[in-house]
Amino acid sequence: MLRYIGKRILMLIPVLIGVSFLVFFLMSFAKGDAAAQIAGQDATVEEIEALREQMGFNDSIFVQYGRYMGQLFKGGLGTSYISKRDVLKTYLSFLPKTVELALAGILVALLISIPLGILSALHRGSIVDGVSMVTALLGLSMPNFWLGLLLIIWIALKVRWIPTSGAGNLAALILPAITVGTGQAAIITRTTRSSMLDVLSQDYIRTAKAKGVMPRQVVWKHALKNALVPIITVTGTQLGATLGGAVLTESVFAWPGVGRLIVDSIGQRDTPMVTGCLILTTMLVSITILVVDIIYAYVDPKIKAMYTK
Amino acid sequence: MKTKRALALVLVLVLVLSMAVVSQADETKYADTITIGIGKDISTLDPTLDASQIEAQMVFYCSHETLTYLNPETHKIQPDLAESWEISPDGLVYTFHLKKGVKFHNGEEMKASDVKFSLERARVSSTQKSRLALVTDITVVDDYTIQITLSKVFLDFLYNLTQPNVSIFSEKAVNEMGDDGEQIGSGPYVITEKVAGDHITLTRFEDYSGEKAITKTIIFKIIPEDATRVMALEAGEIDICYSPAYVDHTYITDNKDLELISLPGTTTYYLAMNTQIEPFNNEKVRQAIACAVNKEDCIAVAFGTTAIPAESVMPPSVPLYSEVKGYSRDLDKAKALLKEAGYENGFTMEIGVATDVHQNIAQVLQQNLKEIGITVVVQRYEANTLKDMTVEGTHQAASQNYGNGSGPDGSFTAPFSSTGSSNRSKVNDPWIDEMVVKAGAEQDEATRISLYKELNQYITDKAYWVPIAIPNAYVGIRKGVAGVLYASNIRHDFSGVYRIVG
Repeated sequence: MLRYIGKRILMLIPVLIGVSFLVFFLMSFAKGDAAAQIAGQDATVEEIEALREQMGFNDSIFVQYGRYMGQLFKGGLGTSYISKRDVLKTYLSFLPKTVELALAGILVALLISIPLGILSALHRGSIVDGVSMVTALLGLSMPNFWLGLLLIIWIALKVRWIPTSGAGNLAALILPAITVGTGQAAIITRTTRSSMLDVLSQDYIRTAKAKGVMPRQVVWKHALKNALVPIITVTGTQLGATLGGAVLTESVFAWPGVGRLIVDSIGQRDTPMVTGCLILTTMLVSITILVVDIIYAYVDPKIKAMYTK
Repeated sequence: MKTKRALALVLVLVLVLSMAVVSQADETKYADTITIGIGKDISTLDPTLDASQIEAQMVFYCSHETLTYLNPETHKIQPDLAESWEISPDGLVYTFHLKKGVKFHNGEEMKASDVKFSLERARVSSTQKSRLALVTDITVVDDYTIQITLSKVFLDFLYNLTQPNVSIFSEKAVNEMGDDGEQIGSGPYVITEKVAGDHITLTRFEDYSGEKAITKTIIFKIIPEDATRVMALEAGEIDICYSPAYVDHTYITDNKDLELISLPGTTTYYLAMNTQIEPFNNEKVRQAIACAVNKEDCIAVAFGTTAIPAESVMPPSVPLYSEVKGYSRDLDKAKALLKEAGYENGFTMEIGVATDVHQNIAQVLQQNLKEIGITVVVQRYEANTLKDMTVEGTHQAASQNYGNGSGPDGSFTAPFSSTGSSNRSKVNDPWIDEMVVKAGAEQDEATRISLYKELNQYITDKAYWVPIAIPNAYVGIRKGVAGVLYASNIRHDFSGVYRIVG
């Protein structure tokens, strides 16, 4: 098992190098560079050009990339062109709030989708099934920022203890988590439903029912446990996505997360910040997926056997 | 005897109680904290590192002080850290006499050496050096006197010194703490906390050399989404909402607990045309476009009631402004000018836009210009992409806005001189280049005013820009908030803010 984990972590290295390469070159395609941003609004064309030369933006992109990788291996993701602050430190200062929102969001999603998915599966074809599926679809179709604003108007402006924005206290997490979670719920609901349907049609379920096991136990103890693998997969990928930042939700709720940091940095052409943040995000998402894969091993002994082969 | 004593005691008690009641009634209660909602995160709080970001400058007004101060209400320059100053007869040497007993937040007294240190740092800063570009020498004469020499006469220099980014900070603090030592200023508030992406806290400086601030704590809270920021004001989570979006104004004006402050702005929305390419290199073509534009319609669509038409390239609220005559809508004249220029059948042109407001303006312009035979393609670009196009001159036309944050020169050199940093129309006119230098060096104020009038009229006549609108500046506040110096250039001075609560 440990060997499996070790192998997975080693595989991360080429992935990260690939990501840094891709991001660096994509940033270079965007018109403009950070020189105009750094020099400020009142700088003359000459001053911007001089700064550009000084910061090496006139060198070929390969030279610039080489320089970046050189500095990366010496130990460090560098400093922001704009704020001159350490990239890693800046990312880490925004990370806790991002993780908080991602975890809260997935919790909301699971609270909605597991019951809804099971209900749909148990009452397949009925009105309950139809309504559940439509509800899930609604959650997916509603634009995040629109839902977020609606929630602020309907709830935050009426309920005093829920703030309209910011990340001050736990109450501030509620509306952003709902916004993120409802979007994720749709796919998890559908996966739960189809996985449950699959399992419910199995022989051992019929056996359990024939044995006289209580219906609730059939669902929770026998069916759901076996249906978990696809549900865990999809939950893991959704969680991974929000660990990279939920930009729209963060903007609407003034949530100080990584998403906003990355988007703002792209707008400022702050290549070290963007590259560094995306490398770190890739690491985080990869580790999340690895954790999900390890959880499989404990849910399904067959999979564990595969890993330890 | 006992009763007499008891009576005396009761009387004293009544007297003391009534005094307490009276003094309570006299004592005004103020809110301990004022929270200001702003729309952008602040990348750095080091004045010379900051790229003149508006939000950062508003923080600096609270935490730092400058040699001279531009009063937003009178548009006149006042003494600040410099009590008085003399300018040599040749206009090149400024001698500033500094206030004594000014304390920095680290307890050190401000001396001329700190002024020299701060200004020298600004001179080499990649973001701020343009403000002190003409400075050749800074000499400390004694602890409270400092001399600054310029390479040529430039009256707007005093305006440059009012900029929050050339604030004076403690040399000792920078030597001890590095770059972040620049945050140690002499203003009425101390920067005590910065949570990236969330807020900045300032605490009252008890040893402030001027009148101690009323409010104990000021918090700048970052809420990027316009609608959310206004809702935070409605919910009472912030006391001041910076620049509420026009579509949200009714939520403020309809709310009995809130007030909408409005004042004339200094930002001009205009159409930039690349004068280095055809057909915009032809003056008559530009003038024809200027005569076809319906400014009122543009304003109605893009700004509602929140802007005034721009007559010329210099907004009325900029210091030393005097009125000039611009073009008004006259389709016959426009068509005649086009014909004279040789474009009787019109032509096709692209207007680049980067925001919703600009897109709205461009769409009205599209309709206006159609009436004289010009086909307009409105093209949306990402903000920095369009900016680069206008800098490199690869654009045709673009809907732009330009804000003049300081003195009169700001309305001319940057946007219209051939080496100007905001020359979006790629103007290359030697007369303008000479005139801005002449007006910038004119020491007599009355002459200076007439020179700028001449410059303004010339540029407006030549239609290097088609000026369209000057939006008002707005601030949403909780009723009872006072002590703010609201500025037309939207860098409001919150250092004196307070709110009466009792």
